[in-house]
Amino acid sequence: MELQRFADQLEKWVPNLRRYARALTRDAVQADDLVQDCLERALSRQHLWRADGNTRAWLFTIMHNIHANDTRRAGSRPVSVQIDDRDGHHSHPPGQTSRIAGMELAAAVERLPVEQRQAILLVALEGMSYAEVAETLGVAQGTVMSRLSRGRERLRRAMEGEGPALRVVK
Amino acid sequence: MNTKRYELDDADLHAWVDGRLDGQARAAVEAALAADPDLAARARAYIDQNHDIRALYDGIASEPLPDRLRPARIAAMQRRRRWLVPVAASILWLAVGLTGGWLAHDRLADFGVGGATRAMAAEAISAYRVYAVEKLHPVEVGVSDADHLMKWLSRRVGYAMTAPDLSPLGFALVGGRLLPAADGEAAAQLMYEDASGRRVTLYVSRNDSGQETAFRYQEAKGVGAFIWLEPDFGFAIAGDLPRQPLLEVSKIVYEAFEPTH
Repeated sequence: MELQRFADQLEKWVPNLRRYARALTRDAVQADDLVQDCLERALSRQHLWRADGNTRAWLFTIMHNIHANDTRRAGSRPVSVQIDDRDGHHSHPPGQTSRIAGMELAAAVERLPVEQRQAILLVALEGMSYAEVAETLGVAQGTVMSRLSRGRERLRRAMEGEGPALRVVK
Repeated sequence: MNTKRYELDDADLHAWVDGRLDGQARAAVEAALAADPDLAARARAYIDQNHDIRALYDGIASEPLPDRLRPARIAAMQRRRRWLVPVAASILWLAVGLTGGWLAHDRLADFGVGGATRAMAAEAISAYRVYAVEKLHPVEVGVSDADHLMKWLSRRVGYAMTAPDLSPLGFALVGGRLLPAADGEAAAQLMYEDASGRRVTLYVSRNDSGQETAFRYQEAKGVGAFIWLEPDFGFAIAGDLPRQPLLEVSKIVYEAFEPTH
C-alpha cells in the first residue's frame, strides 16, 4: 500500500534525522521535537513525495526549513524556555571518548554560522555528496564548497585557539 | 615526480579530505600536500574534524526510536485527526471569529511546533509547581461549585470545557482556577488528587501557533507534562508522577475532549 510504503521510507531515515538534529541543536529534547515536526510535515505532504526521488534530501530540506523558522521565531519572540538540560548532548559512552574534547568540539560547531554548520554536518555525518548537499540546502554546489571551506577553517582555528589541540578519541 | 608547483584548488582539497577524489586528481592533491607541510597540517585537521564529529554523534543513530518519532504512528494520528479537524474547526471558528483567527493561522502556519509545545509545557509545569503544593488554596473554585467552575472557565478561555472523569485512575477533581497566559489571554487549570495526595493538573490555553501535534512529553524539575495541540487550543497534563501513569491520565483527557463526545 502506498501510505505504508511511504511511512517505511520515512522510518528508514529517522535515525539519520535524529543524529543530525542533535548535532545541529545540541539539545536532545529540541532535536527530537525538530524530527517530529519534520515527520509530521512530511506525512502531511505525501503528495509532494516521489518514490524515485531523493527521500533523504527531501526530508533534510523540510527539517532545515522548520529549523530556520524556529530559529527566526526564537529570535523575534524571546520566549524560549530551557525545559530540560539533563539529557546528555553526547551519545558516546564516557569511557571511550574524551568528554572535554567532545564538548569543546560540539561547542565550536555550535558557534559556526548555521549555513556552515549544515554543510559540515551533512558531509561529515551523512556522507552526502556535494551535489546532494546543494540539493538539500537549495544552493549551488560552489556555495556548498565555500561554506564547507570557511566553516572547516573556522573550526580548525577555534580548536587550535583553545590551548593544546584536544582530540576526540574513538 | 612533477616539479612544477601545483596550484591547489580549495574545492579539490576538501574533496580529497572527504575521500571523493580518484586517480590523477587525487595524486595531484597528494603531491601538493607533500610539498607543503602547512597545507598538509590543514588537511589533517579537516580529516580529524570529520572523524571527531562522527565519533560525537554517530551513537545517536543507533539509539532506540521513541514512539513519537515513528512515522506509521504519526500517520495514524493524522488520519484520525482528519475526521476531527473539520468538526472542531467549524465550531471554533464561530466562537473565535473568522477574520482574526484565520489571519493568525495563516501567518504562523509555517512554524514548527517545537517552540509552541515547549512554551506551553513551561506554563503548565510552572502553574503546577506553584499550586500543586498549596494546602489551603490549591484552587480558586472547589469541586462543590463544579458547574459554576466549568461555565466560568469555558467562558474565559473560550473553550467548552468539561471536567474529565479520572476516577478509573483514582483521581478526583479538587477544583480549578483561571491563570494568565501569553498576550493577555486566559488559561484554565483543573486540579485532581488521588487518595495518597498526589496531584495532577489539566492545563488548557489558546494555541495561536496554527500547529497541531500529537502527545509530546517534557519534564522540568521533577514535574512531567504531556502536551498536545489542537487547531486553536493546547492541552497539558502536568504532574509529579512517573511518565506512564501521567500518560494514562493524558489518554483519558484526550478522549474526553474529542469533539465527537
